[in-house]
Amino acid sequence: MKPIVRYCLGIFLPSVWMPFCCLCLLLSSCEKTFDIHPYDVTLNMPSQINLANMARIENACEGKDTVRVAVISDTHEWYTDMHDEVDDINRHTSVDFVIHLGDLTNMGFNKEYEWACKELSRLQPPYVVLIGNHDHLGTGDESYDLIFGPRDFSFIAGRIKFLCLNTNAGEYDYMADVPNFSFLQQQIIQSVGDFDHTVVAMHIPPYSNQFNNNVCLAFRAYLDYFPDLYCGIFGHNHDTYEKALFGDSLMFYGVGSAQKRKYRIFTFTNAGYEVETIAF
Amino acid sequence: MRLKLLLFSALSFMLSPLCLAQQGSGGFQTAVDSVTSVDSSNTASRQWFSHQVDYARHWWNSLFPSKFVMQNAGNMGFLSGGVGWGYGGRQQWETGMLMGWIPKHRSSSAKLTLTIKQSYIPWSQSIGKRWSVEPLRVGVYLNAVFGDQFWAEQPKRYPTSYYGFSTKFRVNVCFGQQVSCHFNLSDSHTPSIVFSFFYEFSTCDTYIMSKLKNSRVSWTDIIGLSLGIAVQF
Repeated sequence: MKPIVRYCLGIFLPSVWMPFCCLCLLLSSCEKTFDIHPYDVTLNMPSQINLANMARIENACEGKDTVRVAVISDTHEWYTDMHDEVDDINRHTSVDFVIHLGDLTNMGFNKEYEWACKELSRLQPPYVVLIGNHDHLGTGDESYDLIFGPRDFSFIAGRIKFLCLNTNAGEYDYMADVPNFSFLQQQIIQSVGDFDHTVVAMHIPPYSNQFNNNVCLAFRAYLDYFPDLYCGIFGHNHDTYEKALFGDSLMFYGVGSAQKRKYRIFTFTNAGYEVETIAF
Repeated sequence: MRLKLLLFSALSFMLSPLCLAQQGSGGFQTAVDSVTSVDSSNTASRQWFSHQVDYARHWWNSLFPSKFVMQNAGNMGFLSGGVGWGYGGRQQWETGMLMGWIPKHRSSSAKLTLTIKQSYIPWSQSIGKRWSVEPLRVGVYLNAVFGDQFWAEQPKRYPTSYYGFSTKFRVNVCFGQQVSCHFNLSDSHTPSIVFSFFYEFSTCDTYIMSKLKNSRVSWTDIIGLSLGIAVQF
């Protein structure tokens, strides 16, 4: 048989390819068995966790004078350490809610989100997750939007407003409104009167690589419009340290990675706040 | 635009053997005829020349893909299809080139992938005239996913060697088994058409790293099943 005939026979042999395609379509419901691609954004993701949990936090903390917050960050692919971290937070029953400061994943894979969400779902207190620079990679930012919700968000616990900001300007090649000043401006007036104190949380701190360092001072100036600014909290550097990043009274607290096996618990009251560093 | 170019090149790549097949059978034959008419007395040189032509034709034919492959999942898309080259004395080596498609699902767009796959099938056991079983097929494949958000090397906007990995390329390993069905179409001289049905378990480099770093990640989390068909013609 001539090669050309054989070739045509092979390519147009629908009796083999068509049933196979149908079989694949039938099997597409078994997402756990068949790995389509690390960057496939699948259908079985939980959705809008932050929005649901913020409502839970606001309800649970309403009228409270003291708010205790556990802050973790940069869990990346250290799921075993993250597991222990979650266990340790669950032992601190006085914790009202948990903030994860970003870098939930290492490469923004669908599976990495699934594994991290599985650990987070074991947390007894409600939690919110910020977006970190690693969470942007590939389709990671799309997954984040689906699983957690908007990248800039805020909520009020007790009489304290928690501003959670996306500061990963480097991931947008410094071409997007990151940090989002419109959001900040809007937050100054939104539910004014419901809060007396403010805490600002972000993944990348000012003056760090990937922050839009051209606007550091402008960012600081905007924060002054918020009432009684307690402190700033950030992740990204994998180290537990504190520094007045602008050389003024505003302290910034760095939260270490899960691998370093340390996290922080903040106790906010109307009079001020206390910080504990917990090793687990 | 880039996607269209990619699709066009993939299509022309798959159809190119059609043109080559005609050229291959016609072109060399006329060359031999013209030589024989000029110098028919010198049989030694004629034999040498026709040997060279045979060799060239054999080499030329070996460039043709010898099989079509279709496979699902395996970290290269919902469905991938492409061509393969079988070689080695027992056809134990197989190199494949597959285009894959990742459906949109909940992301903003569907994505295309390209895979270069090298497989090795060490044993083949015949069962009767028609059927054979290959108890093991192992392979390595490199998968590239296309899209602006995926990079082979970190873009310039990041600090030097900040991300020490590529989001575009993944190296995968796989192992599995296959069953083949042999059809003799016309006479015993032409090799038969072989339908191979295979399954593979596969995982990629970063999943393996995650597994090695974490006892909490299980093997079943990182290993995926893949089904496929290869038609050798």
